[in-house]
Amino acid sequence: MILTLEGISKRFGALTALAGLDLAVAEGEFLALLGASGSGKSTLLRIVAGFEEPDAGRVLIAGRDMAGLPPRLRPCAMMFQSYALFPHMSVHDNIAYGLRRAGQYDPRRVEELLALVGLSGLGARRPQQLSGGQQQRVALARALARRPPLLLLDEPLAALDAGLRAATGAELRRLQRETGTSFVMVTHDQQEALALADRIAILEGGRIAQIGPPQEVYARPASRFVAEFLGAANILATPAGPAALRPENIRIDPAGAWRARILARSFRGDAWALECALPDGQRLRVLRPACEPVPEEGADVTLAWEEAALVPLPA
Amino acid sequence: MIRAMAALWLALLVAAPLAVIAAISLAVPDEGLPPFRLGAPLADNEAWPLLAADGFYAAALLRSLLLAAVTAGCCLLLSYPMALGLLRLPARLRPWVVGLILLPFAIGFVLRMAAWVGLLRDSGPINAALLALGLIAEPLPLLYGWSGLFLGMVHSYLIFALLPLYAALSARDPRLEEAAADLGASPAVVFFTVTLPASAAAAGAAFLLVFIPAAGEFVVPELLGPPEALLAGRAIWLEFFQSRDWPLAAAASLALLLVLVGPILLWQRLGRAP
Repeated sequence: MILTLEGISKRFGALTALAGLDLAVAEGEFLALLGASGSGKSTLLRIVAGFEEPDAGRVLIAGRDMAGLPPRLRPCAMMFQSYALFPHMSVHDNIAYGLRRAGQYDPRRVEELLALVGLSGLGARRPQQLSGGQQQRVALARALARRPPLLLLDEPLAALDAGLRAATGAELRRLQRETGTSFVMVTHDQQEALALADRIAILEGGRIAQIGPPQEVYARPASRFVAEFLGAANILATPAGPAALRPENIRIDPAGAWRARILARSFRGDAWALECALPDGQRLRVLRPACEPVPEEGADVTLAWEEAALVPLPA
Repeated sequence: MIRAMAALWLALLVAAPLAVIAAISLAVPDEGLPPFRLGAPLADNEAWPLLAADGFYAAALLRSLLLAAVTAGCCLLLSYPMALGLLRLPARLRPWVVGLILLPFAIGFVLRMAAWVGLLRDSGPINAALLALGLIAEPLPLLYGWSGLFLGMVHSYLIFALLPLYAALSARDPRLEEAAADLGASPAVVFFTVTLPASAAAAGAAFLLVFIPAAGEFVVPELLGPPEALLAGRAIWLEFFQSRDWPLAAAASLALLLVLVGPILLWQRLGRAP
């Protein structure tokens, strides 16, 4: 395990950020920590990096207890959400900063890193002269310079334009594979987490509510919170107890068993998002491909779904 | 409207007095009141040639600039740890501590200087304490010496460096320093490679904000400094009130101002820097 967290707790005054959180990250793994804002995910990253001390619990990196070690002595590196590039230094000097501190400065290594993130020839520029996407890559190169076994990424794509995010995410994934570095990425964007990570961990109330491969967590949410947070599942009351039903697993089918009225519909480009009501008043979110004809608002339809699409949840 | 008001103000309060001083500097001394005569041929003017030829004034000016530079340097040196320390305090305590720092400045300037005289004199508490502890046999000549002068200067001008630096450092991005620490820098290296360069413009502005007024400072050296230290401020005072050579005093005033134009322009540039 490159990173092991045991019973991490942290309070800020009356606010409990983390409540006995356990987590293990394997070598070479890309883990995404997914949580709503205020779920303590950034605090967790700052505890691993050494900027905050946990009130209780242990942080082990590559098996070594990090208690009392300042950030500079920890083997991990951090990429900040705002990138935190040094404005008074060139791109080259930014990337060389960690190497210089360690007495490992070699201009060829800096060139190699610039090439790795596709910024060859831009070493003499100042960070302010680069686009947001280029700055993001400088921050990544700077964090990777000393070949840390573990990289912590705080919302690495949040500051980018929507159009740039997917491509940059794929780039992140490629670099993670190429360098063999373990990535722990904090994000509030579930698409990002699902698309990039080997495993996703969902934070709730200062603990990990569920952890596993994206497909598995998405298909088999372990709790009502995870089901609603990830993919906005409908929660149905069935004779066997509550069950989650994904909006995209509900069909509009004349032969369906469930009568419903369409209250609202909105076009999302690739899909229709419908808000339907069953006769007993229960609301259902339904997602249909854009190519499918969808009745007007106020229309009465019948809905259908496979029995297997219902995921039983703990009551 | 505002522009016109500003132009009027500048004309009345800056340009007009400067023109008067320039005119006096080109006049010749005369008996009577005022003790000069305007309209004399330029060839008769002695003030500017004397100022240029007599090393006495150049030395006074140089000494003043040196005093101002050392004062500004000391103020900056004290301001960094003070500002960084203030910013480490819990936010709710900060206004109170800033208030405590500013408290002495609520007292009149002359009273504060008088307090220094009391503290520094041979029978004052500092010398009394050192004597009582047996650390010295004779009272230290603190008052009317260079040490008293620097103490008074630094104390008078410290907030002019501290407040702009505090404002600049409080607006800095703490993530930069965290990033440096994360990349392996010790606290001292973080300060010298990130905090200091990132606040260099503010530090330069703070230095000049002390340097510019300190170069013309007259009262502090007069009250606390060594009598033999001839500074630009005192040289001007002497010409005005003792020699009653107003053209020479006016020329010396203008010379001091001209020397400070460079730093003033630089300060304005630094103030605009991000």
